[in-house]
Amino acid sequence: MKNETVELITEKKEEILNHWVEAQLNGNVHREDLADKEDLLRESNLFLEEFINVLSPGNFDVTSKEFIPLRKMIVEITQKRTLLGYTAKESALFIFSLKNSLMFFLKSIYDKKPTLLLTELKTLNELIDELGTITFDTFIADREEIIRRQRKELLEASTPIIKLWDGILGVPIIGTVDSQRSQQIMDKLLNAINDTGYSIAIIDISGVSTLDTLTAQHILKTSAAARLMGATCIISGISPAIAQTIISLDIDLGVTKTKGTMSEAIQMALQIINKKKEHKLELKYGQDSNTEAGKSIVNHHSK
Amino acid sequence: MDRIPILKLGNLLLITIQSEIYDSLGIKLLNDIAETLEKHNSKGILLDISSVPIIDSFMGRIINNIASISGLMDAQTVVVGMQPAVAITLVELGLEMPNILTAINVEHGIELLNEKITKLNRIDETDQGEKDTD
Repeated sequence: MKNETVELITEKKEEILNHWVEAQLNGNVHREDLADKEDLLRESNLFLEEFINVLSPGNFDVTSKEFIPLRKMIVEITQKRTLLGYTAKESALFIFSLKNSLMFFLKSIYDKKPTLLLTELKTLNELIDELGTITFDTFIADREEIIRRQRKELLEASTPIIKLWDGILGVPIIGTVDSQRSQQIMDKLLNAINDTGYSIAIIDISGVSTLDTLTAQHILKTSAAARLMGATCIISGISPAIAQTIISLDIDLGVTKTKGTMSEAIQMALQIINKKKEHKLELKYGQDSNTEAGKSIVNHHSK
Repeated sequence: MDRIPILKLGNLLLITIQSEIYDSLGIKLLNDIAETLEKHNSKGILLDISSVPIIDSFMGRIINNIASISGLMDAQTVVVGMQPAVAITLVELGLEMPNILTAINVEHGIELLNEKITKLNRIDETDQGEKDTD
């Protein structure tokens, strides 16, 4: 870019600003419902000032150090506008509309030199295009951040570990399970076992529609790890589709116990607990009295 | 040199590993357990690893060996209080130790051992009873 061009833009800053703001107000770039004229003027003025600051004859590389303040400003403007309710297009047009105003003034001095006008316009065009796309990047990055945060929150809420009974933990799993979620279930369940000291965990997957190999493997690993910690895992609610997947993928369930429904799994868990209590009494009162003492406890639990 | 204490608890042995365990310490523990088993004629071993943060494949094998050796010497081994991270690591390593009994804490471990020991005694008694009638 020629020195003259930079000088001209610097010199005619006020006029360019007025022309630009006018164009924004007349075009459909300005949203009257979201910001008033003063805001627009202030924003445009700040941006143009920063733009002129970085404008120098040699440097058009927007990734360079000199452009950092300007890029930061565009990011801030976009974020502010997104919060107010501007669309991505409107934020981008704010930057792109500057092009027209600059062209208008460049035309006045390079009127006699069309080739020079063309090259100057080309560089300016490229520069503003680069700057304009930053608004898109910012907009998308913000949205991605929101999605990431929501996904994390959903993940937190989606895997409750509940205490079903004294000594029994329940893990109802609902929805699709990807490997990230199954990893989280694994961590949460094992930590819950460690914290509570409960020795039976029922994983209910009746609310899971599909299960891929990796996830199935993960659940089995969870079961194996729980066994190593001294707890028993019971998997309940395996749907026909999932049962077929497990068989066709040739996954070995090993020692993991499976039950049809959650209620059957709870019954089984209570039986395991009762057996232990029975045995305790047996040790206490000797072998002969065990049957009655044991029975009374079984009755107590089944009530 | 470090040594892991072995406590006698009735007819059981209680071993609580409270430090990070390294290879030579593990081998030493294995020998100590075998000797103590012979001395007290214990019927069960409680291996409390609730404060062990890391177990590598070698230690996994040592634990397996403790269980096998004590099994040969007529004692049941129960591994107690394994940390979640340790359990995950062992499973990822493929060391699922299917032959080892586990319990969530020492209390449960003692119950489990007593259960197993009385069950074994009963089998012995019935065996003898059958022999007597012969």
